[in-house]
Amino acid sequence: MAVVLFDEPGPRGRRRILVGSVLAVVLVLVPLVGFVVWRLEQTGQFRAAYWEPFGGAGVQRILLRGLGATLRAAGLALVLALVLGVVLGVAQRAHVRPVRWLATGFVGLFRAIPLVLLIFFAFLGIPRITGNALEPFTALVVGLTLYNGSVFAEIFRAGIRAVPAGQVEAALSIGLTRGAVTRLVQLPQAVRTMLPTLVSQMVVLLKDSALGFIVAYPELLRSGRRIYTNVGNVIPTAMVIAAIYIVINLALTGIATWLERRLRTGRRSRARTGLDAPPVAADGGLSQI
Amino acid sequence: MDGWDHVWEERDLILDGFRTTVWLTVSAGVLSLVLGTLLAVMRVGPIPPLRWLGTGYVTVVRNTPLTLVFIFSTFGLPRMEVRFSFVAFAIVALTVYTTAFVCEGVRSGINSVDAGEVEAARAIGLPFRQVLSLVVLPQAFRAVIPPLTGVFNALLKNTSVAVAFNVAEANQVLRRLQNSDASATFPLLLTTAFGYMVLAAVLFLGSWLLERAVDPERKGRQQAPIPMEGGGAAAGAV
Repeated sequence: MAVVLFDEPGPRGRRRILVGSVLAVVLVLVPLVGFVVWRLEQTGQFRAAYWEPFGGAGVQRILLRGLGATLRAAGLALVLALVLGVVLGVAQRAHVRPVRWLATGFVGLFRAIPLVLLIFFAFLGIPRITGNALEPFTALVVGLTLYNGSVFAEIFRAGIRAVPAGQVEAALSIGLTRGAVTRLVQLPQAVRTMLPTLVSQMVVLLKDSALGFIVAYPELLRSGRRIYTNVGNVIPTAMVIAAIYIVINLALTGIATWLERRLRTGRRSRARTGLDAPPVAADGGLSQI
Repeated sequence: MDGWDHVWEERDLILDGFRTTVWLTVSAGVLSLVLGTLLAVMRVGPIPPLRWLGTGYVTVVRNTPLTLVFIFSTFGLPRMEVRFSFVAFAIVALTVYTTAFVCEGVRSGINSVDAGEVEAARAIGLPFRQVLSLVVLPQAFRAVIPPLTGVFNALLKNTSVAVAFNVAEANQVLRRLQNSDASATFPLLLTTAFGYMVLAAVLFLGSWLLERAVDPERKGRQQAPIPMEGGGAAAGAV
């Protein structure tokens, strides 16, 4: 996929790359990493008192409960956002113009507003209407659903648009109804092309659920805060939590890659439809921001 | 309607909040543009240790929530005896985070340059540095505008995370004013949302003008047609 910017090196080139590598390690890697580690060591971030609590059952329980809360919020928001995304995606392709405009406006609006502000809309605004205070959990899930639902709608739309128009015309001409065309021809192919984007958006959703921190929802970061306000080990706690997030997200990405490869090669369907799946990695995981 | 009156009375404070939002976006944007481009060059270059450094950085940062990066910066750095203002900590956090995505955007721009051009450049004997600086980067520059616009739009929205880290940006002003007068909740929410949409519109207008300005097919710059497809396709929804 990558453009090869340099030749396969010959003996001289290999020597130069070796020299460059040694220089890079000596002049960049070692000083950079060394400086950070030295600072951490100097300020006592590696002292046992900071790390031992993670071996204890109490701290582990706090972390596990936080992880559970994170997964609960992210999971519910994911399901709701997928439903909202399908509804909006269908509405954006509706034949009634006002419906289409409304859906397009909704998607544009909620993608333009920061998620923090959407959560505030729920957290501060809904109680003004209903008169009852809102649980932080609900505010977080509402915010995540509105934002990610809009993003999913866009992903669905792009995926369906990527199916060649000739196939739709062919399906219509052999007498399928519009609904059947969507269901039998467009969706099965669209799912394959949009799967990678969909999963990287799931990673985004999981990461964004950390915004529950702002409305005091006891998710993983809040649990971490409970630990470091007691022990005073901000950096070790942040490192442990970062590791948890990274492992989960890499696992998600790994599953997506595996699924994608299976769908692409598993059932020789590609050869049959002649549909060239677009270069899925073209945006290099950009959509994970 | 006294809610709207409240918003009007506090307009200076609200504008100050957005000024901070813009300051965070611009300073973190410039810093991460420089660092991200550097990182992208490291990732496509021939020196393995630098490639590992770039890949490792992107993998770690991309899979960490921004809120956690903020905790590292605002609460963690003081533990390492680094003392900045809260705004500076926020800029550090946003830069660290956005750099990873700028790197990926620039890399996708580099990858969108036609392989034949690169091969031709190498065939006439240009070394890696000149292949990059004379052939690839000038073309990648244009292809990179759409994805980077997406990244910077995300950065603009991401500055709002600073609300929880003692920075008086737009959302914290909103929180403060809402605390003092709950009847102004909806006017405040709508005003803030409107502010973000204006800023996003400015960003997209700027990107559109820039893209037009570097369009080789405009204003008498018609040399041999340069194949440059694929730039827009890499834009993606960020």
